[in-house]
Amino acid sequence: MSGIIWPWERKKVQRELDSVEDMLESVFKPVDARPSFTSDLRKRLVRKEGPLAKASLTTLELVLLIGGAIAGVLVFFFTVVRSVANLLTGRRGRKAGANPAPDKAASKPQGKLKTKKRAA
Amino acid sequence: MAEWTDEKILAKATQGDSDAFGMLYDKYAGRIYNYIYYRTGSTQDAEDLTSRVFFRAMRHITSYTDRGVPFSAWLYRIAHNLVANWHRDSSRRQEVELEDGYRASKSEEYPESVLMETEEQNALMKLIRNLPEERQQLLILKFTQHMSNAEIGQIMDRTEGAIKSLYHRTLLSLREEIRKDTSGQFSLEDFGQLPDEE
Repeated sequence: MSGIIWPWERKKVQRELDSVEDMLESVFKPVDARPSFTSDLRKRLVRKEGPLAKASLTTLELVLLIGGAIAGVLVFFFTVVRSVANLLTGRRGRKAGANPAPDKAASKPQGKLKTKKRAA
Repeated sequence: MAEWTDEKILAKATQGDSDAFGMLYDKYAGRIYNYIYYRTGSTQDAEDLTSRVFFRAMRHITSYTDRGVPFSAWLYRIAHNLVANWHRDSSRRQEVELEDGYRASKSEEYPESVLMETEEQNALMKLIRNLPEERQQLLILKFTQHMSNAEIGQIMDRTEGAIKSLYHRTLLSLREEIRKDTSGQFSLEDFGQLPDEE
């Protein structure tokens, strides 16, 4: 088998191995990538991932962070204002509720009718 | 920038200079593509993985330190890891014949692509694909990148002697497989007598 090479076989084996190497040489021929692929990848690497792009990315992150914080504060502020406003309008509603309710008002004529019947 | 040496380019690139990284890309893109192409057997996957290798290298270039291992070895290790992950993905593990890849690339018109012409070469490629991964890697580095055993050792993290021994064993096992092959794809004039004739 391949493990043992007897001394008298050495030359023959070496010749065969040389043939295998020649075959391998013919199989592994250099391949070129598509030029459009290599140039596109280069553009993507140098433009998007370059240090300048990195700096702009952090700036963008900073802008987003500050913008988000401002937006958050504004949302919180308006939520508080709205809830206060709701509270105030709720109180007014209660005050308005001191007037007779519409269903109570509607029940009054019935009472009148009853009194009329009684009177009759 | 023409007078820049490799060391200077690498130093600039590690400082985050994208132009310097572009120069490294120009130097190594073809080699990495070749390596991945022969490891995967597919043009599409070779392009995808080559992109990933360089994007990963770009992300980590600033943390690259020269520990006596050349930059190319660092790149090849990234490529090797990505290819190993690709092979682990069982859904993609189906064998793709190189010839198909070549045909696909031909249709996309690359003038310098090489067509696998003979059936013998296809048969040999099948035998190579059946070899253990490290042996495939060794053959690809040796024959497509024309690296020395020492250089291959740096990439595969082995000694020069270990690579020499592995290469010899790989050739012996390929020779054995070729002798066993009964499909008649190999012309065995140089192989002396066939096994059943011995």
